[in-house]
Amino acid sequence: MNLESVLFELCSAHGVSGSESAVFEVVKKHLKTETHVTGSSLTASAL
Amino acid sequence: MITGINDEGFVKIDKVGGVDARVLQDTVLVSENGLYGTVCCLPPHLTDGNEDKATPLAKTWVDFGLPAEEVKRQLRLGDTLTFAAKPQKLLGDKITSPALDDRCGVAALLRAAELIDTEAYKVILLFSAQEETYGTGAKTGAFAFDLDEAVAVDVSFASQPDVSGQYGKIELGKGPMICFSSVMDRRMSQKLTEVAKEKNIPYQLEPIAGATGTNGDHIAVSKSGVKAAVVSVPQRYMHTPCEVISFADVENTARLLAAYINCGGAFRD
Repeated sequence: MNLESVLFELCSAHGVSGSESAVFEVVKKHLKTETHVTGSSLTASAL
Repeated sequence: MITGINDEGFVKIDKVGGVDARVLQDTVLVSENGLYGTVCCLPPHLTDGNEDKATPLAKTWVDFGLPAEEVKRQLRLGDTLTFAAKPQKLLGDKITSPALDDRCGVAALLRAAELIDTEAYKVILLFSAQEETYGTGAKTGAFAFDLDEAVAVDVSFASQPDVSGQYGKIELGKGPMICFSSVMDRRMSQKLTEVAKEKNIPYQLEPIAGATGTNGDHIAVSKSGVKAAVVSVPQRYMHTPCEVISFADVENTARLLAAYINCGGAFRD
């Protein structure tokens, strides 16, 4: 992972339903494990 | 958040969370549907001599450059606006951007996920929204699991001009801040420092007598209670469109989290 580019991507994310949803899309893109979004949080197993 | 639109098309706003109203003047905001508006600022020639004072939020308006009927067609009461500024690299390994609090925490978790290599127990990564308003994401996210321990990742104050006291000694690039607080688990904080020393990860200490003001406070009281700790990335100019951090501190936060998890945390038998 290029930490610098990921951080830029996260800070550039503006969402339609509040910025958190756009951030969740970036998280999903970079995590290799399955993700679950419920309400205001996204969870995933580390491995 | 948009709370009103006047007959001239100027938009009244209120803040969501801890936005610093002092820095709103002259900033450009962007709406959820991609419209840009500039925060109205009185030319110094037309002020009453108080141009060096921040305009209170109650007198702050946003100009989208459209007549009222068009503004009302494209924007609604309750729509949210965010800072339009984009992240920029500064000299050295510094970055400035809005929302580094707490998207740098998100980046640290994503990086930590790459470094975690233990399968001895289940590790949950929780990315939560709305920390600045009610902690909703952390409260509900933590409730979904039976947690043995939890580490919250946030930002905290680094030294800058006119900051004195304990935060005057916190430096960018000198490592994540490990919090020692009366409402956090001291054994976890101590273990984090031990792991940092063992792995040669730079760190700084952040003593907080009471609540930490982070999601760690919410997670600690989830269900029947969760042992919790807080690790923070040092940051300047918090809650402004130009927050500043060091990339190295994000990387070292990720290394610290991963090393702590890989060694079994604070309570492994």
